[in-house]
Amino acid sequence: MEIIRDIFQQVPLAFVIAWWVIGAISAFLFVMGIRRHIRAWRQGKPEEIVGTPLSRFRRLIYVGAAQARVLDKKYNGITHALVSIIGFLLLLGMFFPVLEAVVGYLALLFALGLILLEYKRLRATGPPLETAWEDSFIYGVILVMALSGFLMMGVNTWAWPSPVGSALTPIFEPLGPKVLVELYPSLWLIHSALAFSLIAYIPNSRLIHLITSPLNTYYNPIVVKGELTAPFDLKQMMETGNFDVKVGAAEINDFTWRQKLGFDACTYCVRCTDACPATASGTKLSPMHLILKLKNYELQYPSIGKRLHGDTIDPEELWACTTCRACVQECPVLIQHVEAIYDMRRHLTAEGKVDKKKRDLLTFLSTVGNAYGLPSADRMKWAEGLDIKLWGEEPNQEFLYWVGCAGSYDTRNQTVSRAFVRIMKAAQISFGVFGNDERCNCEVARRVGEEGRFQQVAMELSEMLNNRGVRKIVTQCPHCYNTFKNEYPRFGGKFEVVHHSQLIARLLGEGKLRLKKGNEMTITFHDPCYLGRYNDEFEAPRAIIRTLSGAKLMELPRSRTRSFCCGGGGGNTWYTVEAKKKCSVIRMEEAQQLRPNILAAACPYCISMFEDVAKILGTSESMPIRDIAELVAEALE
Amino acid sequence: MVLAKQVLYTQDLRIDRTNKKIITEGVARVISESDKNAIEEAVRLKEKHGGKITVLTMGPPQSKEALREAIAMGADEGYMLTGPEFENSDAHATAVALSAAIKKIGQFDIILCGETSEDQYSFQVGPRTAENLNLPQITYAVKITLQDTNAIADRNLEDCYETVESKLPVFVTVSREINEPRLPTLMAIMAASKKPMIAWTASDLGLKASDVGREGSFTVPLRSTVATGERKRMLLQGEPQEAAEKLANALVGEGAVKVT
Repeated sequence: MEIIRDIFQQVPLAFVIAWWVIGAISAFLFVMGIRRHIRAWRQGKPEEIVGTPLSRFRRLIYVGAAQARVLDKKYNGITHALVSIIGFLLLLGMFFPVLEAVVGYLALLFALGLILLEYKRLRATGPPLETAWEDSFIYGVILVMALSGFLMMGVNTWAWPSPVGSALTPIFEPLGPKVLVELYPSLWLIHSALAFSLIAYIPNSRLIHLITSPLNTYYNPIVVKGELTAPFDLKQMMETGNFDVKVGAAEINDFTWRQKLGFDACTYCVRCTDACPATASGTKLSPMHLILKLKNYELQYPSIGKRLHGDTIDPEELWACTTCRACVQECPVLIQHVEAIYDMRRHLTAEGKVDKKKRDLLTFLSTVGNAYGLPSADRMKWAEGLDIKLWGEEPNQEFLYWVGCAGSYDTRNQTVSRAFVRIMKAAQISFGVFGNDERCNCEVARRVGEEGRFQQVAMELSEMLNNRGVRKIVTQCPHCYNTFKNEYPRFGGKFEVVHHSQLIARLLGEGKLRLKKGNEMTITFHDPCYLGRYNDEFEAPRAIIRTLSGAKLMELPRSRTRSFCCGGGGGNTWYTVEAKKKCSVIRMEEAQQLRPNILAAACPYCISMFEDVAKILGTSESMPIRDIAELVAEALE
Repeated sequence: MVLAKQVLYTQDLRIDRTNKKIITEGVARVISESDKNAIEEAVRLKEKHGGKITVLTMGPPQSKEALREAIAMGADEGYMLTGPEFENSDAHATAVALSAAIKKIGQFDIILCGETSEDQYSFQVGPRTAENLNLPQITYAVKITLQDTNAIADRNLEDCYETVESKLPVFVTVSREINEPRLPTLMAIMAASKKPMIAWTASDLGLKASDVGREGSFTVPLRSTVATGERKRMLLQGEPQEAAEKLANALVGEGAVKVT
């Protein structure tokens, strides 16, 4: 048996010539089309490829070939896998007769996948995609192709001996062997021509994702999730005295080639937009449409004659992002939406195109060192009467307790700080605070695009923390936690960082905290984005709730990696974005449906956001909001 | 040309109750708010009409930061008057120093400054400087337009607005409501160090020690006191409607609101 099939078997010469001509035209159109895309990517800024080829290849197999992320959604995932994986096998089947016997069955599954996809598309709720017509057309063409394939099998059982083919043969037998022999080459050519035209069409349609998605999956940098890319190195600039650098994306070619490839990799699957809290709350932002606008813009640039900012991307879209990372988490082809938003925010901030609230926020950070604009000397007011030692006041302090701006200044979150102190004292943890020397670590400055201020503070604070011998930091703020843990090391920070939920869970696990018997109650937990999605800590807070006597943990419909942001991240706590229904309201209503006795959270922003809504919804008593530290402190013996 | 003053960030000021002195240690220094408006307005005028912006400040050596910030906002060059002779200048002495510096710098079409500084609140330096320079002056401007060789400005007179016109050169003091000043990023401020910045002492301006500073001042602060306000601490309870009525009555009763 031959290994490679002769695909020109039984076909007259004229048909073979026609095949080659159509094939050549299609190949030409394909190559020209792809060149247009590649040229667009290459106009982007240079970017070094991060991660080893092996690690990136492994991810390509997992995310691409095995469709790991695609399969996160059942219906769409399975139908897509049917079409993509089987489609690939069918292509191989064309050349390798070894697969012959199964090709028919595979083709049946393939056709089924197509029909299911189209069915879902017709039944889809929500606004239709601009590509709806095109999608149906492509599905139709592929379906006709599959059909012609079946006919070929039925007509020509001697060349395609397959069970499915044999089943179809009786239909054609009455035509007589002579007609069949003549019919086969025509079917063969139609089948091939359809395939060729699809190939030629790839660069101009969403089918381009057959090429761009695997490429983007492969080239995506392998980095720490919680760390933003640094567009410049302030330290180096201060040493050289050269500050000439364009900060942020003012134009499309200020994105790197890899980012531009990423925009081009969008498959219009809407998963990011479906998960986006900013979209759900009716702001101008829809992550998929943002990416698609960038994609279309980069392919038409510069002939498009529009500016990137203002004409193409509305600043409101950029400021509506809570940086919750739900879009990035959902994207099956690893597009980095949030990274692009940061780049564009940096440009707006560098140009001074920020509204008064953001300007005030940044001014507060550079003057009083907190986001509230409250006197720096009032930072320790929360601790009055608590007998808390400053860092260095006692020997051998283990933890620096980083209270954070919210824990220090926000009256609601001050109670969380006091609760956490009670817990640490009960467990005889030796800790100290920085007192009035504490200042915002400028996570929020970085998130609103003031990278220079962030880097300056990160260098100063890292040096101070290192010099004062801090080895372990504990904080109740997932934003402080993420920035210290994932972003400060680049600026010299050498310390271990734990979130208070992790420390409390550990203390409970070690039996260092004695808890009272409690009443039966149900508690639901809202995963903070920067603790969960960003840092994969889902268990510690849940373990704490399970330890509480009488408590029953109820999961929200959207939890863990699918948690729905409170709306406070990315600086959104500090300014207003026009929205139809705030993220926090949507989330609180979701929690209310469960009718838990308590809504627990582990982030000062979440708590502030929810407390505000509780006053509107009137749920302060029916569903009080508690930080996990408060739950444990209340249960202490 | 813009006159700008660096002041202590007032929101972070505390008072030492023992000696009634302001604690200045660790308090950030910023450009006085309405001076920022003046810089912003100058940058907008430049964006529209072209030209060059010179910023002039007077104060301790740290005032250089104010110049850098102003340049980061869009100014082209900075001058600062610094030295012990200038210390403790009142509005008069400050205006003497500033006008001497402006004369030395020379060319200008329009001089802008904030209506008042956030630390002294004298509202005098602008008008006095204009008078020393024998320039027409427009105070409390909330809108400025340039037409040929004239400036047209709206002035906020609290109960009404007045539109005035003046030939250039003109001296204008601006109110906070004229614009929203842009906030330069740290990178822009650092990059501003490369722009020209010149420091002058009193002798550079041909001034004697007796012209400026405490000696050159007409006024001398005698003492500072701490103003204390007592709150009434009234708690009004009841349904919203009822509480609102009580609040309204209380406000009228206290004379805070007049019923006409």
